Amino acid sequence: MKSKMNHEELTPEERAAFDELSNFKLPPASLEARVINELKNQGLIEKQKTMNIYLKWTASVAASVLIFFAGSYWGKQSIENSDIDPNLAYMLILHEDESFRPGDPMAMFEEYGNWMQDIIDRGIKITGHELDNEAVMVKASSETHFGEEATERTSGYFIVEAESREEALEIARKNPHVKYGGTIELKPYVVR
Amino acid sequence: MALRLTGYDEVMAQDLIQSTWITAVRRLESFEWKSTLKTWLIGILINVNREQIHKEQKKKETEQVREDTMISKSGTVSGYDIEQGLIQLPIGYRRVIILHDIEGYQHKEIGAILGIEEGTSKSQLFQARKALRNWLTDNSNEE
Repeated sequence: MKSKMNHEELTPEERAAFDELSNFKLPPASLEARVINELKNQGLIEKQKTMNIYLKWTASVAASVLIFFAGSYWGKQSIENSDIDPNLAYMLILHEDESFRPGDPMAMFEEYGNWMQDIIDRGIKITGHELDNEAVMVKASSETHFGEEATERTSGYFIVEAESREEALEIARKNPHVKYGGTIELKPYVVR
Repeated sequence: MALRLTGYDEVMAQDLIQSTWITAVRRLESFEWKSTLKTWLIGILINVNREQIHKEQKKKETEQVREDTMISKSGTVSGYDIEQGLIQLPIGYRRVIILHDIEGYQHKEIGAILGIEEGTSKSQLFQARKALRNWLTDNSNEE
């Protein structure tokens, strides 16, 4: 019977069983503090002047944000696996253009960390993802490709579960992206 | 993912995550955004796990089968069964099946993460599923 199995495909039952595993287990809250402490102990967070030479701001910011997406420690699916209520969901879309002036990478690392920590401490659900520089604008008449060098781009998004538009706005205003000249587009979900 | 790679050893998984972040921060200057940050981090996670296995000599390429493990009744397969089966797989098979069937990566991405050819990823997945199914069949408590 074993030899008759098609190992190139999963059966529907097996697919369902694998899908069950997407219900990831979050790491303990203490792990985040432990990791950050160890980074500090090894001088990887506080040695700003040394790190500044090397760090791309985007990497430091993305790393900071990723640290706080605890689920993303554990795999690819977790970051999309949020249980945010669509009735309370707001999307924060991060745009950049020529006026965007990223600051000190390590300072941004800290600022994004503080921003995320504040949201988590308040019990607000949040998810999000970075977006690639490359993009294609599709129209009926044309398709325009934007590459790595594009100065105008949408660099990522967050989705927050907020009690009100004002709360979502407050979260958006405090995001370090705005401080450095970026634009955040706030859009509530429409639930019909 | 760290848990699955370490055979659900929570202490080892936490060590793996900590070492991954330390390695990632050290290597940030070499990250060129040719992949997403997450794919890059998963590549580091897997490499750190390789070193972890080698150094601690706790895990070997082929893990011993847990004789006492029984899975659900015949005719059904659950996520729990899959998890039990994954622990029994050689770590190379486990990596590919985790990346493809749980995390949803394509063979090209898996090749980049693991440093293997796309075709090797496909054949490893084939063998991994075969081994997993064989284990599930052998360990089902059919009456």
